[in-house]
Amino acid sequence: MKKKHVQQLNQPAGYCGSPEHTIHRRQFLEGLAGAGSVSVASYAGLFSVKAFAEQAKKEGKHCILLWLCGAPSQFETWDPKPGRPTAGPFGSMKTKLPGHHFSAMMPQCASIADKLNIIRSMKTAESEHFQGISLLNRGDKPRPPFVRPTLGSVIGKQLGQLDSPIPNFILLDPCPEGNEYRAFKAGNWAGWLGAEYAPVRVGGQYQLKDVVKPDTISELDHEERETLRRFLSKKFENETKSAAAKSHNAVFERVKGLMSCADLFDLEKVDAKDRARYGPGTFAQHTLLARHLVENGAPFVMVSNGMPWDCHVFNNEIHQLLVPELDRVIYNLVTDLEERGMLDKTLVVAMGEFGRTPWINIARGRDHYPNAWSMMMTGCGLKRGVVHGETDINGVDVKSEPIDQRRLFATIFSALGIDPHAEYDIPTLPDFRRVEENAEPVKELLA
Amino acid sequence: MMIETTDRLFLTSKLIRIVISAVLVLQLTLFVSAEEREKKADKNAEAAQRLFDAHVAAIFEQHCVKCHGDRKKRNKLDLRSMQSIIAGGVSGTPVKAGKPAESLLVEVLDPNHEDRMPPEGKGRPLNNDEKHLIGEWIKKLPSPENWDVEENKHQVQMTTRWWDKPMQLPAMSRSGQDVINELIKAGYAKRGVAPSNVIDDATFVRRLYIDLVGRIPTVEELQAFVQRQEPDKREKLVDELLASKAFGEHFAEQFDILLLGRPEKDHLYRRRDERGWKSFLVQSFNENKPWIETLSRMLIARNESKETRGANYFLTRHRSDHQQMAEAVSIAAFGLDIQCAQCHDHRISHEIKQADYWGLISIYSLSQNVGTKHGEDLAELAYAKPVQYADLKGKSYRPALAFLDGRTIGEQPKEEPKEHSPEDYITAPKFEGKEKKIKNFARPKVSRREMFVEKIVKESPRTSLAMVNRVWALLVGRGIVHPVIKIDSAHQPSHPELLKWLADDFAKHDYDVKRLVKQIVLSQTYQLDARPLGTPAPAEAFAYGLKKPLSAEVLHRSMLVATHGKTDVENTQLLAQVRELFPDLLPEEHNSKPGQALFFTNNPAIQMLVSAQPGNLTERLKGLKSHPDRVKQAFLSVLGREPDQQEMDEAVAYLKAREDRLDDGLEQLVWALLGSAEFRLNH
Repeated sequence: MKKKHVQQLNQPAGYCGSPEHTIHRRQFLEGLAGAGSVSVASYAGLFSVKAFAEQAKKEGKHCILLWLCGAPSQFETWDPKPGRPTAGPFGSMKTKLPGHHFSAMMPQCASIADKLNIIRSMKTAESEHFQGISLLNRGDKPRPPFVRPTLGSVIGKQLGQLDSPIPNFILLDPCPEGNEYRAFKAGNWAGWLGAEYAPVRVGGQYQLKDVVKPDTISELDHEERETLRRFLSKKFENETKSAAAKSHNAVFERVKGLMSCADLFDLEKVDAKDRARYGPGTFAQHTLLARHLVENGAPFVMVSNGMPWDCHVFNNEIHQLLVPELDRVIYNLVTDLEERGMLDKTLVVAMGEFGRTPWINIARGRDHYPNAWSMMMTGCGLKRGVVHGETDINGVDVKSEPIDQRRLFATIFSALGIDPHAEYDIPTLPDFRRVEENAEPVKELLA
Repeated sequence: MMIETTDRLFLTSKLIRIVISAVLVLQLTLFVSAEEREKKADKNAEAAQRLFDAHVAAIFEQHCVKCHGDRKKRNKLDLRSMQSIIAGGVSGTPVKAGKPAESLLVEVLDPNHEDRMPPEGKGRPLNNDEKHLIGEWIKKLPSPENWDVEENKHQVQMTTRWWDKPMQLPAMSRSGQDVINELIKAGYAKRGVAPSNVIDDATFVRRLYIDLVGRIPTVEELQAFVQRQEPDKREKLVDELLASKAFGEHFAEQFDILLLGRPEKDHLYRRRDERGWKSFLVQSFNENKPWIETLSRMLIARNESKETRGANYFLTRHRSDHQQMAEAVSIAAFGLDIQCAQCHDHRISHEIKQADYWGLISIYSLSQNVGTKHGEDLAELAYAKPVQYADLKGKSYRPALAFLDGRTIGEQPKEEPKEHSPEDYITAPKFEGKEKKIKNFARPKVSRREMFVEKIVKESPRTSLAMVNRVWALLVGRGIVHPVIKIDSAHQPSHPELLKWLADDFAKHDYDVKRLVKQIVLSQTYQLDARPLGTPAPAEAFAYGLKKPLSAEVLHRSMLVATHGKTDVENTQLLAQVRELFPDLLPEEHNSKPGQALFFTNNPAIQMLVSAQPGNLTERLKGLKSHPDRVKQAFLSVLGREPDQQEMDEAVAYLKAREDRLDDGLEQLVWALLGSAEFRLNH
């Protein structure tokens, strides 16, 4: 049985399940139309949209977002200020890029700095977690009652196939807690794109269960009763125009794909040497899993682990714990993808929701600081070894050309070959674009 | 490039839209100048707001708000929001739009000004960057004719307590359902929407059973109601269900989750039964105890009789963690999540202060769990070490014994006396060990818990607002303030007058929960069809029946009723799994999860429900004569209605294709109905 799953995954992207299913579905539709009592038009949208290949999909592009929730300190990572009062105790080190230093806690990343890109002039508007998490995941401020989809939903939709077995947006986060991030996780990720673009969450206690068909029912009947269920349920959704019904139906669309790809989520089945190399922490292990999923066709994987970076207290001790893991994880991920010839097709982004204050508070912590912070991105569609932007001598402000979330999102979309300024063509929506106000991508980073 | 230019239909509709907008533009050319001006002003206002949010607010926060903000409002000037600044203080509005040099707010920043700000000794003068940003912001401010100062003043007041705003309320002598109908209808007019029709008897009986007794009706119950002839049979059914034991059980189950949250492990549900907490709630609702009495028992936690001791669990479960206690108390009493205020004043709902958070902790700080012969009880001391807290800048404070709206029960004493005098106690505490752990159910003469309930909970309008809003949300599908744990200034009610009237009426009638429920379910608003007319109006208009996902417990019972016609069915695996997979009750937004669909599709416990067994639905369907009879009965049992022609045709065709294995076919039909959105939602 497991062998069969693997075979299915080796099919071209977009292939969906057994041939009987496809054939039967068509017959069933014809049967419905023949019933005659209701016009065919009312069935529009009853069944999943036909896959249509955009250029990006054909090229099989992917994105991995290492979501460093809570917000890491730029001083202890990408933008150290050695010798300055704002520096902290860790010092800095030379990198493969002449003239550019990283924190001394990042030796492995320093050794491949020519394969990474750093933006040191991030400047964003939100300084509270919930608002910041939303801003850096959705790319814009809220405009109620409209909910903008998150990066993963947008990219998952553009790069993935609606009926592909592997979910288009996977969230690997084992942590049930996480303060404001917990609230964000419980919210609406897919926004106006609809629940079918929400992430499938795996990790820790969040595991895919019930992925094996009961023995008491044949493959064919298992398929067909779902077709009957979908018909009844979609009819109710259409009549009541209910978002709750839509959400209910959308998750049933996932069932088949998830059943066929469940094995891919099993960390135990990933190479033990790789697991040792990435290291023991859940963040490291889930990043490895992200690589594994991307290799098997996942368009967008987001890795996080609750909200560990929020160090209002004991900034140094917390960064001493977290930065070496991050260093090792990014090094292994980027070099693995490169060795496998996948870095050119896979965009890797590592960031939090803002940076941390240049000054240390009385609890020896750094507080929230959206005014001048850093992030890393490399891979698909980007140059390598670019350090963009600069902060002043103490890291209090950016020196020139601040990059906000809109320009960042425009860069991410452009790198993946997705038009950043395309308009959302959804009937109930006012004019929204993927990135508002024609914000320009950071050209210096684009390949 | 457009997103989703996937087929011609889309493209055509887009083209049509372009043509229509082109025509509109031509027609509108005449009005462009006025329109444009307004647009420009709007743009400017937006730019000013952005600059304010991004920079200026932080500057004021750092240098000015300590005196011109929440704690104090020197010269009545509040510098926390653009609205409050425009509303001004005793010297009027301190900014002149577009003209920083002529703005008082800028003038006083000059260190040589006679009223320099911040005053000597109260902080450093602002630097040039900061002044520049303030100047830029004033330049962007729209001109005063575009401010609605009255409106803004009004907003400033709204950021404190919307329920204090003078409101025109209907007479208190009127009936609840009339007032609901009238005020919700007034909202339609304001929003330009039309309500759906009122539901038929069959839909009503299903909706009401789910909401009042927590399960779908059996086919017999449904048909009996439809056949009843009395003109007031809906009201009669409401009375019957309210009088049934199942009502209290269902409400207790819901309030358990709303007040305590779901336990992390399944066996902890049992603990809530064992501690008497659940039976306390069941009894309170079934005997229709005034809500204020139920709430007081929970918040004072000094119950000694067998019937009410379970109420103590509400606080003892936190094992003397005073922060957790305070957070739970705030949600239960006032529908207010105060977690945010642990480290700082709430940034968005300004009226929630860090001092309130720690004030409530101080009120409960004298309470300690003690083991007694009944299990855990909550002892209370007369005094203890005063609670202190620090803000993010490291400054430390000792909070007053106060919680919200300046309601206070006094000050904390400065020091803890060395000895506890028996004169201060009804039951003096006994201590043991070095850590001086209390070991008896100590009770002081002056109890902070009791004073909190008497002087704050019973006096505050928040108490009835929170309860009415919660019950409304459970029945109608969405709070008038939404979500129900955010009754604060950042979450304005959709129908303030209605919530206020219902809350006043609730308090006036001795916090009578059943009466409140009856008012709501007999209103037209409750009885609206779930199908919206045309494009759905926003949910908060209450223009159609909102779809309410069944809670885990209701889903569980309803699946049993649908497949077995009763709830006492042996299926031990089912409830625990359903609770784990469907944890939500009144979430801010409903989002289904793929795990739920996998569960329905493949879980053995679901399979057990639908596979033919003696007495269950699948088995009974087999015994019927024809496919149409079977389909009709399946629809009635699961969805509470007959199939329409199209559904009938499809389902019959499905069964016909399985005449060689009819058991399987029927089982699959029942499964498909159970898994439909129509079953999953109360509608």
